[in-house]
Amino acid sequence: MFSHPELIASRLLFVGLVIEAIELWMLRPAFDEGGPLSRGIASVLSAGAPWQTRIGATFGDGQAIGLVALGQGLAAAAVIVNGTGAGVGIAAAVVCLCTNAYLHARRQIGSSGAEQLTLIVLVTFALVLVAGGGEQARRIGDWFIGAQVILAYFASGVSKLLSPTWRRGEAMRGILSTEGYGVPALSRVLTAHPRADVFLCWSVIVWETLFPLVLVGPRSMLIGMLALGVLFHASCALLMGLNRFPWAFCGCYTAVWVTAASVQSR
Amino acid sequence: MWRVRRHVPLGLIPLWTFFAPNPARADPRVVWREEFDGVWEGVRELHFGFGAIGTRWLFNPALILNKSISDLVRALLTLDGDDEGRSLLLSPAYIALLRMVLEQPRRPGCSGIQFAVVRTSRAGKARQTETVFLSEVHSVERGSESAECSLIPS
Repeated sequence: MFSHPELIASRLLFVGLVIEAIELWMLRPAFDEGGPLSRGIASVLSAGAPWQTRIGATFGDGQAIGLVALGQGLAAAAVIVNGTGAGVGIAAAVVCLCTNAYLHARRQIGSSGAEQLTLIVLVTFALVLVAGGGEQARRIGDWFIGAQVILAYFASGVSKLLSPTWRRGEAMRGILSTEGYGVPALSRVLTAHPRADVFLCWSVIVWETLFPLVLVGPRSMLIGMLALGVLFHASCALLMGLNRFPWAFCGCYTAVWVTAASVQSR
Repeated sequence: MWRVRRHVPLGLIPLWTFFAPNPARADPRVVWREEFDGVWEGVRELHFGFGAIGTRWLFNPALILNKSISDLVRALLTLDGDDEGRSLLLSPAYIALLRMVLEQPRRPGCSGIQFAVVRTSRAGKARQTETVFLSEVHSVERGSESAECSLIPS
């Protein structure tokens, strides 16, 4: 994603940042006094934490969050238009790092894996710039992000493989039975057809656990695994409301591509 | 590893498990009630709504608030399971949830407050509910609408 800033696929992650900015703009009142993400709550949650994790935790109310979210949305939009290869895009990506780090620190709770990966990408991009921002630095940045995505899927797959609930094929109907993450009607369908649940659970386990094969397998396997990834994240967004994951994870697939190509060219 | 993660800001050392090993099977919900002269009123819910199924694939701000509650509940139940006893009352998760409840509009004359965590599931046709945590009773100053109460249970 850093090696090929001209590709639209390298800019998908910033679409997620625009969406996050709009969501936090809508949630501004939650950050005011009396809200569930107020400074008082953040103060309680960060009390006793190491000093470096408390930076920014209690700074700013809903108005500040709104301003920062607006800045993030505009900066991310600039990256989507310009990419991270030229001056304006690079500056906008650095702005995204600053705003996203603040928004993450201020919230303290409620962040997702998609937000974590997004922040890791932005920090990695800053390190790429510190290293000169040249072709080699960008490639190393891509290797790190590619490895991070592969590790994320593999660790998640192994974790599911170790879980009796996932192995028995009962996880999907449980998740889908929740109102926060699911579609209860679909859960009832899976309860009535347990073999479908077993198939879905094992599909996820097998795909996630075998994902590292993209590094050594043929090009067709790489394309197939990434296509399954797009399908997986799109399904999670549609069925579970995990709307940020497609942009964060699929936005890193160009880094996975560069990493796999580098491994296979050696 | 856990100690290192705690010291690294912004969650830059991630924990990639995604709904494993224990996938969500129910929604954690925080409910609370007020006491008036020894009589408890009906239970109310601290609820921020769920994203609409038709739009949440694109915009889902409710997820941020619900995940926040879910994170606090998980932290609370982990401590509760560790048999920490009443030191649980001083945990950030307990105090944060108590404070959120205290920030809700209260009726005049309320003398005590208590919250609970219930898990609801719609695996069957009817909603199933299970109470998994019950807080202590905390006294609040009569007539006060501020977010202050006695942390020491009454």
